[in-house]
Amino acid sequence: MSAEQGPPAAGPEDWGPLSGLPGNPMMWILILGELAVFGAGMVGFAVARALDPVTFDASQAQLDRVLGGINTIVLVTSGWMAAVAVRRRTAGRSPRRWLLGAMALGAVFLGVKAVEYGGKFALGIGIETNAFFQLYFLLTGFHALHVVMGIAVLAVVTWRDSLENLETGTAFWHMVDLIWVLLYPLVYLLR
Amino acid sequence: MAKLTRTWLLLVALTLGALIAGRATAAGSLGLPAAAVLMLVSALKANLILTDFLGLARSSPGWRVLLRGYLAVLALLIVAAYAMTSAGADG
Repeated sequence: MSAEQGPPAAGPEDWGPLSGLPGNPMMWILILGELAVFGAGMVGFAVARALDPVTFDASQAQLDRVLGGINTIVLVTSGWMAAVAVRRRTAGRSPRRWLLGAMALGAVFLGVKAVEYGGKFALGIGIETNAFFQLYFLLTGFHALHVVMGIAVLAVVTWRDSLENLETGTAFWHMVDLIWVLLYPLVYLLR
Repeated sequence: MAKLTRTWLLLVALTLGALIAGRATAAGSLGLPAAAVLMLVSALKANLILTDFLGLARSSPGWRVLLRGYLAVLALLIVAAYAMTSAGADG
């Protein structure tokens, strides 16, 4: 008996509007939730700055803006490699090296972040220093945690590299990339 | 693949532009116009990631409107909060 004659499997069409998005709809529920959470966090940061611009601007001056910019380039390059990996898989070519490259750059991002945090801790700056650093560590730390999770997701889809898995895993990675692109100017540059 | 590479190069160029517009190596306030341009360009970068890397270009128009609208509203709210600060500092 051929597979076509069996009962229809639950497909993406069962997900309503979510089936119009690339990858597994379950991942999109997560992505939309994360976008909402980070969006609220970013608006919260902007409002907190409006209430106390002196503290925020003086504290921001202690961040390394160039290091943050380098990390932006690292992450968008990683996102590009992940997108190329999906395109290669679609064309029937191996995506493995590109995915490994994307993960390696994710690790570079975390390394730069560790250097940045280490520099702050060495100066005696921590999450309890003031409202700016509380939000800085919360937002960038929560984002870094997503980078860690994103690397794990990319590792899984490198192992099980069906096109749907790749679209699903890289969708999460692009969400992490997108959030950083908005977080960086808000936290490091606006003053 | 060439399209993805063009998008990546554009993202890198816009990031370097943001470092210059955001005067990454200097102190002092950016001022509202520069801050607004910075957030607008950042929202455009996020849209490039959504459209070209994430493949939103292939999804339904409704999703594109929703997600692009979300980026625009987020950037506007951030700029509005910045404008309130500037007005307070001036007054």
